[in-house]
Amino acid sequence: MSRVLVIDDEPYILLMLKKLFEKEGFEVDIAINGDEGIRMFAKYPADVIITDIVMPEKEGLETIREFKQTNPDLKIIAISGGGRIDSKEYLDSARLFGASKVFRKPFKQREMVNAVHELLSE
Amino acid sequence: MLNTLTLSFKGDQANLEKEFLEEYAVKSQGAFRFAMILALIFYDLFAFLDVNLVPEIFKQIWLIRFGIVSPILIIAFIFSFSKLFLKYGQITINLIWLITGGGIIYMNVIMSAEGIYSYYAGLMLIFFFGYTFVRARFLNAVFIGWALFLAYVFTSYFYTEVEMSHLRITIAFFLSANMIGMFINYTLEINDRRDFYMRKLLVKEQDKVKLANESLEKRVIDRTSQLTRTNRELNKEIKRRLQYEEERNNLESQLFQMQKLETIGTLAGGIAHDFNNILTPILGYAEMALEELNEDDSLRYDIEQINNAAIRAKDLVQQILTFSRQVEIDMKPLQLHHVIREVLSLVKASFPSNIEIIQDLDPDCGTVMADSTQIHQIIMNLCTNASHAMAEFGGTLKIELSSADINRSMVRKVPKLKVGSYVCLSISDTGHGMDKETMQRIFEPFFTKKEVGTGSGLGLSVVHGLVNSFNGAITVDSKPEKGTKFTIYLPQHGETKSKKIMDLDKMKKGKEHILFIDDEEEITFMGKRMLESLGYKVTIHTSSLAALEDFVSNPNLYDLIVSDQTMPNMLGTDMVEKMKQLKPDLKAVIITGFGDSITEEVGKDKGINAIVIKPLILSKFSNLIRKILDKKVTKQ
Repeated sequence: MSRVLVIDDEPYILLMLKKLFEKEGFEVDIAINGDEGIRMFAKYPADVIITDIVMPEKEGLETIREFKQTNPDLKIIAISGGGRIDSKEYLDSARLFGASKVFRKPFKQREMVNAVHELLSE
Repeated sequence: MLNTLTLSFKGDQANLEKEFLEEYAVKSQGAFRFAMILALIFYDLFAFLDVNLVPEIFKQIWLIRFGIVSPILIIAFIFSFSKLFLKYGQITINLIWLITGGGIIYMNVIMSAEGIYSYYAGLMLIFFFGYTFVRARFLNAVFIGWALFLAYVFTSYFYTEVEMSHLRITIAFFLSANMIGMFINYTLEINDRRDFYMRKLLVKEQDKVKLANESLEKRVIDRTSQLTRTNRELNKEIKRRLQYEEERNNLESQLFQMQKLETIGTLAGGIAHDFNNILTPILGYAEMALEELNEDDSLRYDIEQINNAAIRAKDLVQQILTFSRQVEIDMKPLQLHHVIREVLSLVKASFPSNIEIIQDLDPDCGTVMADSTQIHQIIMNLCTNASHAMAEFGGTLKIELSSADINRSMVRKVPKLKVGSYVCLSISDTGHGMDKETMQRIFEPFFTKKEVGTGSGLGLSVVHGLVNSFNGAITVDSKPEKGTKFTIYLPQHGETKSKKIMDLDKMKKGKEHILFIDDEEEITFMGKRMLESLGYKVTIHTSSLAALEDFVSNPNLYDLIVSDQTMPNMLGTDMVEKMKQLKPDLKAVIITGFGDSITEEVGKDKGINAIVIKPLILSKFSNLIRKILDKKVTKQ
């Protein structure tokens, strides 16, 4: 059974994605920021990580970079709803740091699920 | 002022003498003529007495009267009309006096014994004339008077047989007559001279007064013209001030509008972020629920409505982001007249027939860097607004496209513009227009004058955001009941200094030495790699104390400090503060987490050049660092 780790500071998004992927038959872990995500991953290594960018404490880009450093082959999906600048710029940076796919919030559930499947089949 | 004896002016008034004499001569002219006539009458009238008193010698006496003295008097009378009289008047007067007096003395000498006691009296008359009428000058008169007196005494004593007792009496008479004559003559002349002097003084004073008057008048004229000039300049100055004031007010209000819109934009960006986070689960759950429900489930319709509403909300957020310039745009060189024609062909169909459309498009006005879809959106929006404004009474929609050279005065009016070549697109209508207050707020998001439900109020704010993202400017000019004109200025392609999209891949590089501090080693590695890829030399520390120590031993080694704010032992800002004590012009950037409570103001107080919120975006960060390093140090 594949494992997905979702990192976002918005609890509703965490719960929604947890439900979505559990329905698809995944094991889902959730974390409220980057640090917690890294701790969670150390305990339960996931196959795919979905992370937000703008978060308190450890933000997403740093988190992606750290994951990529310890696990260069790890599949990461970045999601962002923008902030002081457009989400596109955050997501472009996320790609530079090693995110395989990026989504602007709000995104289509189906597309997100498809993206995870696609990454796992690579 | 007068010589007592000669009576001539002296001292300061010596220069008056010549003028006085000239005047005296003129005055004596009339008196002299009158005296000559009188003398002639009396000299000849007494001829009757001659026949009665001394018939034996009357012929001799008549010879003197008519043959010598009378002709001389007539000649003198005539001479008084000549100009020469003015020069030789005194001599003439004296000579006449001598001759007439001499005539009497001679008569006295040849007189018979009877006449000798009466003819001497004629001399009295001569004295009268000499001392008074003819205006003989005092000294001359004295000389002539005494000469005649002595001549009489001498001739009477030696050449006549007059009795001594009679002679003594006549001498006494003549003496006193002479004395009185002298006194009269003296008084006359002295009065004349005083009168002359007083008149002179008067004239002089009058001249002075006149001069004073003239200078006063001149000063008044001068002052008046000066005042007029000053007044004119003052008026000019007032006008200029008013103009400046107006310009300044205009600028201030524009600046205020710009700041307001910018603030709203920033706010909108933040709101959009939160909304996206909220919309994500709404849309997500709705989607999940729809997948689970059967086609004929009664809940399906309800959830579809939730989904649709959330999608509308998502679009609205996108529009807000457009206003705050946070959308990606696809900038390409573009000729606006193509887009305008395209839009017009679309809107014409929907316009009521009472609206006339006039186009004045210059196809050679130049190209602009813009996104054609968004230009389309701008023109469509403005045309639709114009059509709404004219819906009731109809009117004219005018679209003009031309090139415009923006000069300094234009920049003063519209600060967003820069001096250079622009493409100018204006869309004007003859509709209901708007007041000043409305005009100032129309670019604000959610501001609308349309009835509730007919528009979101985002239209013009989106137009404003789009024009800004093309580095252009939009102005509005409107009067109630007269119509509205929107003018859009977009930089001509080639002139455009587009920043946002173009620079994304062009990182600003440098060679300076940067000290990078973060308590997490991972981050310092990342920072080092990131900055070194841009060409900078980077030294890293994971401890603020170690960094401080390093800095203290080599304060001139580092050009810039980049530090995390939250670290054990010491806050980043406090560390920088300590470093600045050693090197006051040190430049520093502080990195903080999302939600950390350090504001730009606090940073500025502590001497921080910039505060960056995580996550770091390389393109933004590289630009910021370059900007700070290139900034000239200003001593505070």
